Amino acid sequence: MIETALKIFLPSIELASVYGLAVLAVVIAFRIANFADLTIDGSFTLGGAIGAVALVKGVSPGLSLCMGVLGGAVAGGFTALLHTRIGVNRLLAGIISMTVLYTMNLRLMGRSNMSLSNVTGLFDLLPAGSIRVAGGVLIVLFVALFLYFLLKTELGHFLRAAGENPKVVVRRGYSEEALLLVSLSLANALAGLAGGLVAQQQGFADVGMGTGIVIMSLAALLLGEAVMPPTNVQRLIGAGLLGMFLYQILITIGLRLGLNPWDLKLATGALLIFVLAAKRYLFTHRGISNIGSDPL
Amino acid sequence: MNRLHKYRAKNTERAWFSGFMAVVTIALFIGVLGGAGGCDSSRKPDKFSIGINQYLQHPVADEVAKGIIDELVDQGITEANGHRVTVKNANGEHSVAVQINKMFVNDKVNVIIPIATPSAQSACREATTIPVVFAAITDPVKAGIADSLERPGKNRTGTSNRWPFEKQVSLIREIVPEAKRVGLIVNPSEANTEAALSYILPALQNLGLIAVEVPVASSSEVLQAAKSLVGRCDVFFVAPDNTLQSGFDALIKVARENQIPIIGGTDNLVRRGSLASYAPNHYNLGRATAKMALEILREHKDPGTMPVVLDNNAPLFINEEEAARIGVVIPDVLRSAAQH
Repeated sequence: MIETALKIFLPSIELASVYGLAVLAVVIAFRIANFADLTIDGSFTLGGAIGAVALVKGVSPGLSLCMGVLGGAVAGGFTALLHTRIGVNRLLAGIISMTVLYTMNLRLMGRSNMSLSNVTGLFDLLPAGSIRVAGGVLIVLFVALFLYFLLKTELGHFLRAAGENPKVVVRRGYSEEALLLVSLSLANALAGLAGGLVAQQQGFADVGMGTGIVIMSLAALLLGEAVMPPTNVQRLIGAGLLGMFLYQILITIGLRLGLNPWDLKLATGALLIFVLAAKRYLFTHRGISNIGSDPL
Repeated sequence: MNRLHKYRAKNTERAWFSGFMAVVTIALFIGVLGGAGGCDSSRKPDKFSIGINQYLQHPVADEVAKGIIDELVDQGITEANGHRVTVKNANGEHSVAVQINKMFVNDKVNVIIPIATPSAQSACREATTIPVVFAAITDPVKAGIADSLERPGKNRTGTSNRWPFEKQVSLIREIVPEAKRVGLIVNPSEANTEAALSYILPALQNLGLIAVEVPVASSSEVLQAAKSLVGRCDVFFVAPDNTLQSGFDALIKVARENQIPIIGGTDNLVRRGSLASYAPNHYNLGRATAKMALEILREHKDPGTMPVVLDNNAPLFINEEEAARIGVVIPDVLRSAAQH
């Protein structure tokens, strides 16, 4: 029984680990910085594209991931500057970056789909099976831990304060704009890392791989928050990862029960409405106000 | 006191809700395990389990899937005979396509048949020993799922739906001899389009035709793109572009309003409004794919040594009604060669 359970849920864990990084990106942007950043769709693909091109050109798997992370950070910074320097509306700034990134990704790869089947990725270095899954889980746990400690530093406190009540930050002599730049760069760097890992895990980068990542991550985050109300930072990070795991399990269950994936979308929608309604009528949790209070 | 009371009430509700969620989760868990137990229960060696992973809902992909299933049924691969055919549609989502392939591998199906490139790439990644017979992949070599068309290598082989572009382009000369500029509407982000253009553009050049390309990112942009080509091209040529095919009716509208002929595309597109084309029959390709899968299962052929199958004798399709509407005469030679 346990063996069967493992066999069924191992793929969910494997996918949840890499896509979990995308949820962490959404956590930083939507919850910590309080900025509905759609750039993540583009920077996820950017990370995959940069990673794929670098790998094919003979760069080591680790270094190519780092390049993807850097690319994501730059993309996030670009969105932040669009908002703070030109005064573009938040959603629009993200949409602009996402649109620009689409072309950039195509140009970078020189085509829409890049196969990595002939190069060695990070996951190819590990034996297939549970060890490979453990590798992915270790990476995401490591990043989660890093985020946790980062948010506990003074900078982290100000990042959170900037999202919650910018006036406080300004009064303390910090620049609200600089803090937003840091948050969004961090969020998109994480998205870039997620994209790079997904490309290496699945053996190809595709210009459409990032489409819908923000929505999927948000859905996962809401799910996680419903199960584990995020009253502090560690619970918020945990809720994101748990949510993605549950989300992937739900897809597995849906597939196992014979639901066709196109019905799955309706099921996801229905589930989210249910979760949000439950949050509205059952839970009124106290705690950090921009963590968990705002449904989006 | 009152507040405390309220807090307790809230807590009770919360506990009730959590309990409810837990029960639902456990029920689903057991249901899934039960279902799984059923599907990897030991199977007789002559009973096959076949997994079909369709990447997205699309008229062409649907035709391929129909061909595969019809061939399987004709060869007696039905649930009634103790076989198992699982068809899953990933709805265009990467992570779902991967999940489906992982599920097939876990369930130890005997062969995986992926339709469309991303599903095929992920299938080749996940399945290291289970044969993968990909269906209607435009450029398997570039997609990294075949070493060459003659010898795909490893555990994989399949069919390719590469259109006979040279023959299609030659139709422009035969039907609209005075045409000089050829309008192309393409979504540059599609892998198949890109591969196709590397055949189409040289073919146009060889005939002394000038290509005018307009990029689109979604099917809603096709109308605008087609309008922008009016006056800039004498004929539209249809590249194998999913975005264009989704917005094909917009192209037809513009073509009719401005009396510009459309050439090329699939038989389905010819039926809808293209004047003529040589088109691989996706239904037949689906059948060919299923045949290959069964050869591997029944005759224990090695997939890696089976050449990728193309539709070499793509038949000619013409739409005379549409030609009359646009004011174009289709030569008798073509008319007699065409399929109806």
